[in-house]
Amino acid sequence: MNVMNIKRIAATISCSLMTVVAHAAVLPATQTDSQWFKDSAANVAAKAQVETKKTAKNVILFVGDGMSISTLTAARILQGQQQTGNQGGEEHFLSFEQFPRTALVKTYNTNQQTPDSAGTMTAMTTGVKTKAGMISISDTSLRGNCLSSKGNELVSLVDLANAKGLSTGVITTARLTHATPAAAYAKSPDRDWESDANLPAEAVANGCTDIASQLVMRDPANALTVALGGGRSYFLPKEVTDGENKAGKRKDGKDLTKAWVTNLSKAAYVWDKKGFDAVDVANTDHLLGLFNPSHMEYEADRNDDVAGEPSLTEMATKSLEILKKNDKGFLLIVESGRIDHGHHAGNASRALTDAVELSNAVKAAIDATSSDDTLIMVTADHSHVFTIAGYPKRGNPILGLVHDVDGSLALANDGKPYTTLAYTNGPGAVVGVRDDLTSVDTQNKDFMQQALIPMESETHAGEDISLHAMGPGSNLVQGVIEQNVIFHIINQAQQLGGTKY
Amino acid sequence: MNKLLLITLLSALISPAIALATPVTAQAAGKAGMQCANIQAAHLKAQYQVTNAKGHRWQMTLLRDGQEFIIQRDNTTFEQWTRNGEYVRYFPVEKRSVTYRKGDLRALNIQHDREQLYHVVSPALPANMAKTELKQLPCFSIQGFAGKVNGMESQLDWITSIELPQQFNLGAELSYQLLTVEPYSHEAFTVLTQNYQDIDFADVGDSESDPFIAKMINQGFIEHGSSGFYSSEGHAIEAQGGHGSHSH
Repeated sequence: MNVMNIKRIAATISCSLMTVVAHAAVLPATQTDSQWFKDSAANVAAKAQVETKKTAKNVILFVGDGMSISTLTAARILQGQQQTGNQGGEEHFLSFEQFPRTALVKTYNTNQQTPDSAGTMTAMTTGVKTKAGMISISDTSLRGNCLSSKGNELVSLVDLANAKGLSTGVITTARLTHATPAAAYAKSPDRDWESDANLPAEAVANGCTDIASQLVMRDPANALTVALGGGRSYFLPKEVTDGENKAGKRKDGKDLTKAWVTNLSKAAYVWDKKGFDAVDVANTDHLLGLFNPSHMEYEADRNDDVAGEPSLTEMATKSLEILKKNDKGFLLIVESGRIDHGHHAGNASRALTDAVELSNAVKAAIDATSSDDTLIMVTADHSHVFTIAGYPKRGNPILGLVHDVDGSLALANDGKPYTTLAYTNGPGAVVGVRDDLTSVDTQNKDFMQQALIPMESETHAGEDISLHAMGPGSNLVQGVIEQNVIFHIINQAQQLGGTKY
Repeated sequence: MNKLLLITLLSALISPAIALATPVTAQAAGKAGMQCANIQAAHLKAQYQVTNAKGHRWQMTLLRDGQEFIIQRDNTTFEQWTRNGEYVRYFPVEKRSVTYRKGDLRALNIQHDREQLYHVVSPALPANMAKTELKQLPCFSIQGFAGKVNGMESQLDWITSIELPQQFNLGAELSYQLLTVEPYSHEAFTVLTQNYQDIDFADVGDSESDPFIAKMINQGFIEHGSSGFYSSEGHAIEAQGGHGSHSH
């Protein structure tokens, strides 16, 4: 450090001290004795002490599909209002909202102002933005055209981590072949090519393979250590009926669950909660879990599943037990996939319950790792048109009708009450006369929020989403960034060698 | 609390099918006499003529395969209820289908009365009506019932062995007349739903670039009137969608 810098730092510290002293002298006790004042002062003091290492042995990337900032706020309040002794719920934080580093993330695809998950996750896993609908293929290719994708395949974080000898894992509550998890391990010019039955003739003729096949039929050196989620039917032949009485979708006759066990060392395949709980971690180096023929259940409905499903938290915890066996480290990508679906259905309760479960999974990951060597990042792929509105009183149930500060039921211009949560568009839209919600239990998990513009499915939104980070390399998370910067943060923090850092 | 949405015996009242001109003359039980010895309640095909208060007529077909069943009201689409609690809507011309899993139905706050659909009318009706005449047709014993249903004097001729109505008159509002009933094999049932490109309803929101989905969304096929779900007032349930028919 040169003399100039030392002088500058000393001057800064000096000014800072003077400022604190001067302000303390003029602030009234009613201000400085306030718990708000004390807590926030402590918060800033703690931030001033944060030292961040540069290199991470392990990286965990959590992605809440469709987890807009309004989703975070509402989920935070929902969970807060479920805490004993809460002060209204607004004061609560989701587990990752107190991470020391945060950035805003621009999500657009190269061809869409409001993006889809394929393009956004490709940005995160490859460092390159692409078109909507394409999985780790650059945007010089055409969607749905295999030939044009040749030579445009992108190397992903999983590829790089495997090449470095790290263990890798992908977890989701959606289908493992769905766009977001798929972008971690597959390359496909169309997100819909989830099984061979979805491949058009052109794709077959030009040598493209389906996404499920790409998950399983990998070079063992580039295999995933852990893959947990839904989508079982995409891995089974159509002639096979699974344990939940659903036929497979594959036309090529391949049972990829068997191929997983056959092709990989110390490999196990589980499909229900009982099998999941019985996994012998010490003797399992490759774990495939497919817990539903399609997407796993919403967290709110999980207990109703026929065969039983693990929660996202349980999947993350088990995965970390396996991944941590590698002394070189690991890369784990965890998606909460059904927040997005809850929003599409205009059903805030299910979307928020899944967001809260994501928070629980992050908490489990924090507890199971060390912030000295593990970078944990939590983000979303895109937003939704989900709003928190009106002027509800502090502590008003977040899923409830708006009550004013005086406790009275707030009424709109049509003389009817309204909920705090709503959507700009979607299936809950009102055409004609708006329903009177006075006697409706809007906190029921099946309640569909009202919306403005009628659409069969509520849509994604185009505003920025957030990125929260803690651990080595988290100092790189700051400002407003393009989504593809996330790849470079991980690449640099974990020294994956993807560029010349 | 959200209203409980039930599919009732009025369901076909607002079927999108165009009224048929053909008069109903056949007595199903007798007409199906040659085959009735082989008819099992769990594997059959039953065709009904439905007539509403305005005189509009249309046909409805019920296919049973164990606990699974299909209902077809027109040539453009048919609906399946699986033993897993899923609702699948098929579009034969396009060879596409949309599956509503239980979680999707809950998220959309769509509830249906599976028993009523399986039996065309609620199987609880006989218990709430007074017995009348017992008729013995060549194939079936038919027990008559009479009484008020939804406040209307109604008559039901119930085929106990297959748990279906041979005739049901809901006042002057609606009537079901069984036209034919015949055995229907598991294999035939399975063939009906094969080779469809299926999509989960949960994926519709991410599939706007799919021309079929885009068309269906624009036409409102997926959730609107022809969804197969109807309220206790006989109105189409639009998945809490627009048109003022929220079911919150």
